[in-house]
Formats: sequence, C-alpha cells, structure tokens
Amino acid sequence: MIDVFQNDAFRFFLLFNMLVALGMYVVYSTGQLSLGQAGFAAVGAYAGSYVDVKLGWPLVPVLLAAAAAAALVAIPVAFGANRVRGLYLLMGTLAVTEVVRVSLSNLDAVGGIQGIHGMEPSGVLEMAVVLALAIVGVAWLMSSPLGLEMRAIFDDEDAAAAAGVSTRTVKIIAVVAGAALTGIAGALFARYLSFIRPDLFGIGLSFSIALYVLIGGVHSLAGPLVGAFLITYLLEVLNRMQQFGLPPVLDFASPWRFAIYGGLVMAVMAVRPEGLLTRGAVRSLQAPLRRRLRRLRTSAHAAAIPARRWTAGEGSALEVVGVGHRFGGLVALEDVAFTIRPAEIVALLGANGAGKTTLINVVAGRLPLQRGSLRLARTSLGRLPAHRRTRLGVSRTFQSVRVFGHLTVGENVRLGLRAARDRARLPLEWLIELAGAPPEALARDLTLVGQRRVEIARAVASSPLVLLLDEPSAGMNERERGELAQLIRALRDLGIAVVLVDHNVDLALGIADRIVVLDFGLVIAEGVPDAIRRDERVRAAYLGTMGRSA
Amino acid sequence: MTEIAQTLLNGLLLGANYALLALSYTLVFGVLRLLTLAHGQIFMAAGLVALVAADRQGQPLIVTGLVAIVVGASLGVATDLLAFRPVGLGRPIAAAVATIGFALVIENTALQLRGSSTAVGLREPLPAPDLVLGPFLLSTVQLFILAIAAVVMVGTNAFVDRSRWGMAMRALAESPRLLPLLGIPVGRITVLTLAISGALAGLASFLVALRNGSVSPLAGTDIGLVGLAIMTIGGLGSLPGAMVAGIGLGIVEAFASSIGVGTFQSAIPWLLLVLILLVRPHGILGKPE
Amino acid sequence: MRELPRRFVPFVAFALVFAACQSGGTAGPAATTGQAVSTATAAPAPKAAVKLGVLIDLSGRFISFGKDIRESTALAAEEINKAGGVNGSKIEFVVIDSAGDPEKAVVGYRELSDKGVFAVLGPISSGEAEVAYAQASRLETPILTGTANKEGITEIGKGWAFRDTASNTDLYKVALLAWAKKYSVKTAVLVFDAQEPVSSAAAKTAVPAVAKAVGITIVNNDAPITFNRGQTDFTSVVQRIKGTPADGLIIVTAPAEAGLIARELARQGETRPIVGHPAQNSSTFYEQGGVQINKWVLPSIFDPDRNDPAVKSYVAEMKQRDKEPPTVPEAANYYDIVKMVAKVLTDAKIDGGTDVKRARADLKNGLFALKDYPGIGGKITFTATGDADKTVYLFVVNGGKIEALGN
Repeated sequence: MIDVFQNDAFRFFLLFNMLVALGMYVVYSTGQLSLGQAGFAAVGAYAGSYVDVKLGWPLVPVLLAAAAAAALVAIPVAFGANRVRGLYLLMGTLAVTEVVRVSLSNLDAVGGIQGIHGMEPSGVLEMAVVLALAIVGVAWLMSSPLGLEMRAIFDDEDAAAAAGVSTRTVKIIAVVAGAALTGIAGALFARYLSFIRPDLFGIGLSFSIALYVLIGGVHSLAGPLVGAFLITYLLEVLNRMQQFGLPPVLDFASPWRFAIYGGLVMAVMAVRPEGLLTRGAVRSLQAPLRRRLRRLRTSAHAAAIPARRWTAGEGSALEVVGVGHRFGGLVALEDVAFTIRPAEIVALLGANGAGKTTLINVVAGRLPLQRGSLRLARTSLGRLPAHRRTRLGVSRTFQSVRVFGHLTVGENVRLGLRAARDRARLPLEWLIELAGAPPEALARDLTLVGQRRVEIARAVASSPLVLLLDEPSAGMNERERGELAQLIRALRDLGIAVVLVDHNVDLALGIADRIVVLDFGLVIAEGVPDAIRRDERVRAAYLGTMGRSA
Repeated sequence: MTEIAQTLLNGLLLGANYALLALSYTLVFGVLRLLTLAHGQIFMAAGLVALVAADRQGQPLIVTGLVAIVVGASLGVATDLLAFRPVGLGRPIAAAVATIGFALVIENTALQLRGSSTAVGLREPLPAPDLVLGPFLLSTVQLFILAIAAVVMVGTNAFVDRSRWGMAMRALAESPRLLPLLGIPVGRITVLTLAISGALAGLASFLVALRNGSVSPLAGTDIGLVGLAIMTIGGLGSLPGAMVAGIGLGIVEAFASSIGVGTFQSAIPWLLLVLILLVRPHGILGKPE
Repeated sequence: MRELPRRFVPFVAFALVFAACQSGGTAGPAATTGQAVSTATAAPAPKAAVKLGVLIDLSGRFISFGKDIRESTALAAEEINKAGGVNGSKIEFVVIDSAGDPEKAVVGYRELSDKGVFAVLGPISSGEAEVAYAQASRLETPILTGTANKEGITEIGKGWAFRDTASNTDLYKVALLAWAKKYSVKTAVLVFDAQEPVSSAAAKTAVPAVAKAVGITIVNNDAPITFNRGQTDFTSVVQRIKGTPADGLIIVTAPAEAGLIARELARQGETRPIVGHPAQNSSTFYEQGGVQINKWVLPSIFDPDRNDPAVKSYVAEMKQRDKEPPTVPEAANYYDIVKMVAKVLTDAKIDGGTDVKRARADLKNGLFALKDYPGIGGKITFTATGDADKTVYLFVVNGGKIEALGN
C-alpha cells in the first residue's frame, strides 16, 4: 500500500478539497450549480493574506476577514444568479471566476500578477479544525428549516415557492454562505503555501470543485466529502504507482492518470448519475436510528392538535375582480370575477384551454397579475410573490404532480407546516396519514397517486384560507376518488375555501357548492351544480366534454 | 476611419471562426438540450490528427480537411455513445459531467502521445497572396475561410430547418417523448446530431489550421470555453444566436485589441457574457425555457 | 444533517482534529523522518544509493519540458554511475510528476523530502518553484531548479533553494543591450500574452524595469498591446503594432503564438527588429514562424553549437535519445545540476549511507562554496541568494535561420 497520508501536504490538500466541496455543497443544495467557487476562494485567499501580511492580524480574524470578503463579493453574484437558471447560471458563474482572476492580476495593491507572499504559516491542524467546525455547521444548517427549504428548491423551485419558501432569499443566502466557507478555505490555502498568485485560482479549480460534489453526490452531506476524498486520493496514488517498478505502459505519473480519471468520471455518471452517494444509499445505512428519532419527533408534534380554527366564519375568503391575462396576443383570461367564501367548495369547469390553470397560476402568484385585482380576506394580493401568498393562506397543488422527490414524505409535509406561520397548525400525525405513506419514505419512490396525496398533504399543511387544487384526481381510481371527495369536504368543514379544477366532472359536480364555468377565458356561467347542469350556454360551449364524462 | 473599417473587417473574419465553433456547441444543445464540454478537445484532436498526418504523409490540402472533419465527426459520435447514451437524455447535469470526463480522456491521450509541443503540419498552408484593396489589407485565406464558414452556417441552418432529418432533430428538441411514437428512432438522431456537430468542430479546426498551420494539444480547454461563452451569449440552442454572438465577439475583441485593454483582454468574452446575461437572462436570441 | 445523523458529527470532528494532531507530530522536523528512512535504506549490503528527487511535469502544460529534463538528468546520472558513482554509491532518482500544478509540487516536494532524498531537482515552472521553495525553507532539503525565470524567488527558500538559470531580468539585460546596440533602438513597443502567467509576469515587471535601465523607452507602457494564450488570429494585434511608432518590438509570449505573430508581421509588412522571450527558443517557434521570422533576437542559457567537447557530447547523447536541442534548452541546466550535486557530494565524502541531515547541509554549503563550476551552459557560481550567475547566449533569427549574435 502506498501511504500517501504520511505526507503533510497531501493531508492538507485533501482536507482543503473537502472544505471547498462543502462550500459548493451549500450552494448547490439549492440547485445552483456554481462554477464561481474558485473566484470566491481567490477573494478569501487574497483578503486573508492582505490583512495578514499588511496588517499583521492573527489567524481567527484573518479567517473572518476572508469569509467576509468572499461573502461581500458573493452578494452581487447571488443577486445576478437569481436572474438566470440552469446553464446560463453555470456560464455566468464561470465568468465570475475568470473576472476575479483577471481583476486580481491587475490589482497592484495585492501584488498583481506577482501575488503575495510571507503569510504566517498554518498547517493541517488548523485546516482540520476548520473543516470539523464546517461539517458541524453545515450539518446543522441542512437539518434546520432553512436547510429543508434549500433542498426543496433543489428539487423544484416553483413548487418550493408554492410551498411558501422565499426562493430568492434562500438562494442568495446559500450562495453567500457557500462563498464565505470557500473564502475561509482559500485563506488557509494561502497560509499553507505562504504564497498566492491569481492563476492558482483558475477555471480548472472551479471545475474540480464541481466534480467533487457531482461525483460524490449532492443529496447528502457525506457525498461531497467522499467525492473530494476519493478523487484527490486516486490521483495521488496513481502518481505513485511507478514506484513499484511497473512497466512503462502502466506508468501513471503521466497524462494517463488524468485520462483514467476522465474515464472513471464517465463510468460513475453512467452508473450513478446522481453521484456515488445517493440519498437512498446513505439513508439505508442509517434507517434504524432515523426511525427512532422520527418516532420521538412525531409524538412530540401529536400533542399540539389545534384547539381553534384559523379561518374566519364569514365574509369572503377570496375575491377575484376583473382579472385578465394575455400570453402575447393570446387572451387566456378576460375580465374574470367571482368570490369564494370560507368553508365553500367552488369548482372551475371548462374545456382544455379555457383558462382554468392560468387562473390558478394568477391567483397563486406564479403568473403576474396583468389586470384586475385579487383580495384574500381583507388583504390585496396585488403583486405579492407566490411564497408570500402561500404564507398569507393561498395554497395550491399543480396540474402535473410536483413533490420534492429527494425529500421524505415527512419533510414534504413539514415544509408545508412552516408556511402556516401564525395560523393554527394541523397535527403532523394527521397530515402524514393524509399523505398516505410512511414519513421516512422518499417522495420520489412513491407512485404518481401517492405523490399527489403527498402534494395535497403539503398544501393542506400550511393551514390555508384558500386551497387551489389543480386536477387532484388525475390518475386516481374510483375508490381513491371517493376518498379524495371525502377529504375535500373535510377540508371545507375546517373552514377552508377550496377552488377545484378537475377533469372529472362527476367529482366536481358532486362535491362543489358552486360552479364557475370558463370558456376561452370568459366566465360564461356561475351557480349551484344543478343550475349549471341545466344551463343552455354551458351545454352549448361545453357539451362534448360534459356529456362524455358525465 | 480606414483603421476602424479594417478593424471591423478583421473582427468579422475572426468572428466567423468563433461562430462556426459556437454553432457546433449550439447544435447539440438545441437538439438534445444537453451541454457538451468536450468539443474544445474534439476541435483540438481533429486538427492535431489532420496536421500530424499532413506532416508525415504530405497529402493534399483537401484530404487534410477531410481527415479533420472525419476525426471530428467520429469523436462527436463517441461523445454520444460513451458519455450521453449511458447517462440518458433526461439527466443534463450528469451528461455534462460525463463529457468533462471524455474531454479529460481526449486531452490527456493527446498529451501522452504528442507531448505538449504544438503540432505544425501545414508549413505553407495556402499559397494565396493577400489582397490589397485601396487602404485595406485582406487575406485571401481568411476570405476563403469566411466563405466556407458562411456556406456551412447557412447550410446547417437550412438542414435543420428544411430537411427531413433536420425536422426530426427539431421534433426531438421540442418533445423527446413524442418521437418514438412517431416511429423516429431517437438514437439515430442523437448520433447524427453529434456527428454533424463534431464535424463542424473539425472543420473549424481545419480552417484555423489553414491560416496557422498548427494546433497545440492544450488548445482544447481555452477554445472550448470561448465556444461555450459564445453559445451562451447568443442564447442556448439558438443557431442564429451563435452566429451573431460569434461574429459580435470577434468584432469586440478586434476593437479591444486595437484600442488596447491590457491584461483585461482575456476577460472580454466573460465580461461580455455577464453584461448580456444581466440585460437578457436568456442570451441575445435565446428563448425562455 | 438529514444524512449524517447529528450524533456522528462530534465523532467526525474529533477524528479530524485527532488526525491533525498526529500529523503535527510527524510533520515537525522533516529531518528526523528523513533520517529514519535513510538508516532503513542503509541497512542492505554493499553501498546504498545516493537518492535524488526529481520533481518535474510529466503531465499537463509543461509535459514536453518534463520529458526532456527526465532524459538529461538520466544521462548525467548514467555518466556519473559509469565513472564510479558518488564515492562508490550509485545515483538513484525518485521521480514525481507535479503536473504543472503548484499544489502537486508542494505535495511532491514533501514526499521526496520525507523519503530522505539528499536534494530535489525541479520543479519546472515559476509557479511551482515559488511554492516548493517556501516548503524548502521549512523542510531544509536543498532544491535545485534549472528552469523558472521569475525574479527573486530563490530568496523564499532561505538558502535552501538554488536556481541554475537566468532570471528574466538577467536575460533581458543582456538581450536588450545587445539588441539596442545592433539595431540602434531607442524606443520600443511592448507586446505580450495577457493570459499566460509566465509571459505576462515578465512583461509587467522585468521588461519595463530592464528597458528603463538600459535606456530604451517603451512607448506604450500605459497601453500595452496584448492578446490571449491560444489566440490564432493576430491581424488586429499586428495592425496596432504597425500603428505604434517606435524603433523596435519587444514580444513576450510562448513559442506558438510568437510564430503566428512572426507570420502576421511579415504579412502586414512590418520589418522592425524584435526581442523575443527566451521560451521562444524552441522548435515550435521555428517551425511555426518558418522563413518569416526576421530580425528576431532571442536570449538563451544554452548554446548547442558552442565549441566545447562536453557540449558536443551532451548534444550527441541527447540526439540519440531523440531529444534534439534546442527543443528544451533548459534540459542542459538540469544535466549540469546533477553533475554539480555529484561533485559536491563526492568532495564532501558523502555516500548513500551518510546521515541525511548532514548530507543535505553539506550539499547546501558545498553548492554555495562552488566557484566557476564548468557546466555545459557555461561557468556556474551561486550568489548568496542561491541564484546562478549565468552566461547568456544571444541568437538572432533571420529568414528562419538561427545565428549567434555576439554580445
């Protein structure tokens, strides 16, 4: 065996790589794949070295300065990152790395291209302490409600907003926190080398950091650490292989070892596209322990059954006044108006393209309100973003199921509970029962109907005043539809105003107190189910669909 | 005044090459919604093989060009078979990571076999004299390159827009699930897309070599990143966007070098990228997802 | 912490701190670790080999340097061993690839030092050397570099770093003086690669300082003409050069780009004399630029045509190994370094069995004491900081033909 761990420098860079991987993990757990990490490391390294060499600060203030500087640079980056998604984000952050490097090369105050040297040396011990603290800190962060929100954003940003998560704020916090951590790593790196130069922090480093996380697996804290460890170890060991006197073909102190590394990267992605440690793999190791913990927590919540209802008894729950919406030249909604009272079920009917889902999206805040006004109880929803509306009491499900797949059923529900704010909370046990799956199951392992139930449970968990259900019965069989109808009635009896969009007209007509019929964006009829069944205009506009399914 | 016109002209000629490279990235992203990070290395490898062959065999220029195109296309196909297909179309990040792996394989194989020294194959590439038109100095080679690039760009666009296969490609881009239902083999289209895209990278490499006669085994990363930046500036998946951005960047760089921005020169594509993304989060001609 | 249960965290933290404390123990005085290794290797029969570390790039950006240097060091060791070795001990190399990466250079230097080598040869680039030298000042294993042109870096090694090559300043001092004299240059245009660290470092510091010292005015100090590594089109760059009036051009860039610039200069009819960067003295530049390289002055630390039997034998031997100079002229420096180390060790009566700490200290002192060592690159004497006072050879390339240019 080649004992590379004897080597002080190897140990240092191993821990350094684990620390930067951890910084990346914090950012990427919100789904923001950043290639700007080397830039943040550079800023931290330079800030730390500057206060060290020029001002003679001791270690801890140096690291704090590094964290602060990296965080400061990260703030505008985080705001910019919020405007773009996916590959645009990837390229934009890559640009950050390059711009930081070039800027530092031109900044004579920090030595320009010559760099800085003469930092107080610090070694493996300091690095290990910082890494240990960082692991504890990130573990705490990820287990906190904020961490839950971060991981929800990773799975589905729109759904997270609909679940009451301020996606913008959380994403900004993640970028800044990850940058601060990476900045500290950079400062320690500078102190170990006693020398830094801008090109030590190039695009290559950013790519390496991303690979540690993506190879290791992003759905667990252990993933990035394992990824960084394995990659660093592998490359070092291959470099030492020739000391065994292998034939020249197997001389890996050559480009071959990087080619092998490349091949392994491809193989890992083919076999485990989400990285070596997927959440399932980690969880199965810890299942027994977790179950015990879960039971403790569940029973603690069970004691808090709400003694009072959170909804008002009278007035209107939601007022939709003159709402219009256009997609380019296409009119999706035109002057739509209706009111729904607490403890009332209103079904929206209409053929495909009548504007039902558009209306729900406008009410929930996923689409901007172009014309008209929306009032929730006495509050104007106006231009409030989706997550604010959820917190105020407008909750929704999506036409195509959107649960947080990498979160457990229990976590999905808990996320909903957080949006209840100061309204009375429904008991967790009851909600989990509503979700119809074991709380520790990963949501993505459930069937489509199972996921739909989890989504409904999550929406209900926020103790909404108005609940918007978009096609909740899709894919359900007779028995499940019956249960759904019962549930919706039960929710109404809690005082929730339910807006139901469903292709199953029987279900809609069966449980709704009132029906609103849309046709090409216009309300063409409104009334109790029996009246609607008899309405001529409705028959004319909508007979086909109604006839078939009724 | 003439100096500005000459700079503009230089930028246009430089941009044509950029545009061709960006086109090869964009084709892959536009059709498959997947990012390939190996095209810089494919560009390098295609040029390297062609030039080494030219140096050893002394074959005619056209053969050298064909070698570059064939090597590029083969490596494009290899990207599909080795990186994309094992991962699956629905996993864009894993697929992109796999192409990083493939890029490492190509680059390091080249380094292992060739070392880091530049391969110089076409010592006297095209014995064509420069044109002097009034105050302007025009390279016939560059004009030739510009013409080929223009023809290929228009051709690629027309192919994607008009031909049966091109339509299938666009159908794949629109709705990957629908294609098998229409009886169109998805696998064949992804291979075709990557073959064309790889061939474009190979051609771009050959056109650069026509002027320089050389390729460095290390050229892949730098040029690949510039190609990516251009694709992003133009708007992911937009072929006209890639061309506009490529030529735009060529002109900006030409002016920057004629004004002199010192060490900030290397940050130009990236600064441009950040600026464009701040104004237009989906690039110049990109559509919101 | 959904994943790693909360209760594991303290254990992880503890384990890390513990590991670090352990490391603090062993990493302290490197010499003790080294000693342990050397007594272990001294045990087996006739005579233990003198172990030297070679820390070079066998992958990455500088792989071509690494491959040539591996050959030239091997050649030197072969000759020494054939002639009886170092006081009867054979020279043995431990080679580590630093991949052009400063991090790996530090890890490699540590590794070699821990293995008990008497000295480390390498690393290749200034970036790697600078960080390795900082380690040398702590671990006290002599490190000898035959490449890396950045000014003042040997000082970081606090006496343990030696550089047998000329710094940019030294090279340009000779080159600019001779160039100015030959072509009566008073003013010059500065052109450089802004992305490549070696070139941009030289262009931003050494060149302006030296030019000022020798009385050349750089007309565009405030607005240097720049381009990027890997750039393939130099039309605009040369256009701007043409539009800048001065007596000559100083072009600081790697060989490939220099070759392309030479061609573009010829195309646009630019004929002013040029001073290049020493790295351009390579086959890539000559092949790339071809006959279009004109009035191009290059400094170098090695002249393969020098009339000296040792040089002739070196060139012939390297040719046999398929390494024809001047691919990497600096390989000659490493050949000299191995020979020099062997001589100092021999004179100090050191062999493979000698205590590592003593061997390293004696080697260090011996190198400083060396006066006018007759290397194939010229006479070598180390200054107090560990830099060598090198002979700088000047060449001028005209129509692709390389000729010596008298100083």
